Amino acid sequence: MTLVMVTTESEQSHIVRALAAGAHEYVIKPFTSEAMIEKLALLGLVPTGANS
Amino acid sequence: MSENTPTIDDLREIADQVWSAYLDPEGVRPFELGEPKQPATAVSASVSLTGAWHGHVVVTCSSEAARHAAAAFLAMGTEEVGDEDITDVMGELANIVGGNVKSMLPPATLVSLPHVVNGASNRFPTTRQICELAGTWLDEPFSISMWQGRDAGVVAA
Repeated sequence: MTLVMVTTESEQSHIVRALAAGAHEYVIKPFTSEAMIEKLALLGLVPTGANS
Repeated sequence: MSENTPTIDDLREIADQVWSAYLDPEGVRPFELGEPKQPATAVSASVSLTGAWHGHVVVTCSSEAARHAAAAFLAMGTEEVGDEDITDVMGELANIVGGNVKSMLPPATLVSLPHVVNGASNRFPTTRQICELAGTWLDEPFSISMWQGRDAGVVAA
């Protein structure tokens, strides 16, 4: 299972804790759909170039 | 007001990010700043901040603007949007704005879950409004404001 944290928490300590706890990616709100698709593509969850 | 307290410029920057990410990604339906206007029928969403700073971040708009916001956020037609969608999206907008305000405050600040009121404005006794970003979106009243507890300032952390 792939875990993506989506949150308004932007403190570095939160990001470090989330990734250390097993999150594969950390997305700070607000985010654009393009940015989210890019991150999901890096995780292999959507095809590369899905934005285009 | 403490120099650490977020300002109207900070709210503007956060609003720009929210509009470009969710409400106006194509840049054709901007939030137009102007005089504050009380909508005839309002939807008001808020989060409370506690800890190093005590107060509230409030997103208020007309019911029509809230319906358009829900439609934009959820990629739905306005005719498809239900009351629950509007409540969810307005709460999420308050959460996003409040979460970004929180990130400007000392680390010992907590943000509450959002509270959404349909048909009226939220009221916050023993607070004062410290800044408001007001105007219109799609010709409907829309505002983002911050309310600070009267005895509260920013506590260094």
